Amino acid sequence: MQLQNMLRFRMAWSSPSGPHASVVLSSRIRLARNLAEFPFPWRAGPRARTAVLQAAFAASRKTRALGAGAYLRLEAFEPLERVFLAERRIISAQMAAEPGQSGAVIGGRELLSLMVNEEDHLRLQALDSGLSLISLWGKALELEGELSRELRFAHHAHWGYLTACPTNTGTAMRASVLAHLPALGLSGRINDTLRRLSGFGLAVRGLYGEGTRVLGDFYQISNASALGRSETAIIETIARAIEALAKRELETQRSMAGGPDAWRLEDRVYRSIGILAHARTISYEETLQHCSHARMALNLGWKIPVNLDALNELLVLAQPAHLQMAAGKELAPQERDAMRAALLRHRFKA
Amino acid sequence: MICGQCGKNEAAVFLKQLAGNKVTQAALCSACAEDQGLGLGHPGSPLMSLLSGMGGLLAPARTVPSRNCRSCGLRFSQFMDSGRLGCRECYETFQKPLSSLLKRIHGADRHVGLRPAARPSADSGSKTPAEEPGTGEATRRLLRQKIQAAVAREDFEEAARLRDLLRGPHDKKGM
Repeated sequence: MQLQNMLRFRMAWSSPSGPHASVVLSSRIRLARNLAEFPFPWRAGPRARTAVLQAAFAASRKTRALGAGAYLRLEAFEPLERVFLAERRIISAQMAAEPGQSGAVIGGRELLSLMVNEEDHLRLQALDSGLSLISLWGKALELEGELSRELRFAHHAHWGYLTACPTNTGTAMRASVLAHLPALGLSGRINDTLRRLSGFGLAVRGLYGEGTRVLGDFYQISNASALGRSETAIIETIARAIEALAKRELETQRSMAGGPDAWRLEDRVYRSIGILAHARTISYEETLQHCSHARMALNLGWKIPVNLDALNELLVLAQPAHLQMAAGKELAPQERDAMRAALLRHRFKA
Repeated sequence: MICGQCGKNEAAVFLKQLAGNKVTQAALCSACAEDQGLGLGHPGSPLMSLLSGMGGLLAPARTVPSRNCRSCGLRFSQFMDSGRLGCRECYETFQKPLSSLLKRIHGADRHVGLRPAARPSADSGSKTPAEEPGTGEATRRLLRQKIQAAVAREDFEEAARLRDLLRGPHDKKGM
């Protein structure tokens, strides 16, 4: 349980301080880079992977953003601790499952971090609250520039940065936001909205990325392609689309709250508050669903016992590995559900 | 859509051919496509599902490379199975099929944006980022500009280093 200390620190992205934070939980810029001299991680043997890890750590130590960061070799940690890192979005679920010769570097407030030997040698990410893609791009660019002075990245004259998966080739950038769209979901306008987003060249996934269903009306929206448009052009398109999306979501929330069926919405929200304040056992999925209603209540100015800051923090702390790290031991699912309910009751007590 | 060849199975490979000035289209199931030597790998591979999810515009590369990547040994069929390339050299080895694949995935086949040798911070007297062997005229032009700038500020050491970059094979950096 070496990582237990991290529980005491708040991640930059979990505080609702960024622009449009009532709808946009967080923004992320992720850049993939590979070292020219080595096969990509899945084709590299343990020696090559170790050499990449050492080179990446050595280069990171010379950077301003990550020089004083935490350097983790994932094999040194328990499976639970690795899932904990994945829940904090520092490493991927894939890395948590297969930690061989892979690592992570974590900067202050977990705003900048680096995954080493994931699908690509380096996955640099900048993660912050609200719709903050443009400022994050500046931070990611600075870190990437510092790393590029130490490491030679695989690059092609026509195809840009070379990555293991051709879907990332080019800018090798994924710019994404995590948006909370409950009113669009409840009103049935979500599918139409998502179709429009795909028209902008954006892809939409559930909260925890590919292969998971959408939980609690949280959607991850990112660029669908990486080649042919510059990083700034991609980011500006997403930022504009998400601004419009946030406006549409808030308008829909207000029109639902002012319409003839407002009592239905109010009933739904306060039933959720009742469950969060009184349940004795609750799953994470159910927590997300009720916290989703609570977030909407805050946007509408309705009185509930928590603020947005506390709700964002609960979304992090109520995750399975976070609960177990707080308990200092592994817990059976029913024990976790009871502990989660106790945490929620404590925060939601009127 | 049903396969135009056997008339039984669901079509998985959509082929556009240019004959003279005329474009002909064909839709084939994966078995018939395989029979005609147009197979692009296993239908269940991640890349295949990715491609079938991209509007079904799967016009296969006519020539699937038979040779392995000379650097990491990856076969094209392994790429089709895994959806992943093995190293930077794979991009050269499988250049032809990748070229059309990238175009289909991204709707473009030319990178626009950040490049190792063109970042703004490289001009500020700091070390120039690695130049990529095989990079085109744009990079060489940029290097020549940097050399002139280095000479102008009497940084002859930097100018010599840049001249070496412009001339020849790259030194191994960062290891």
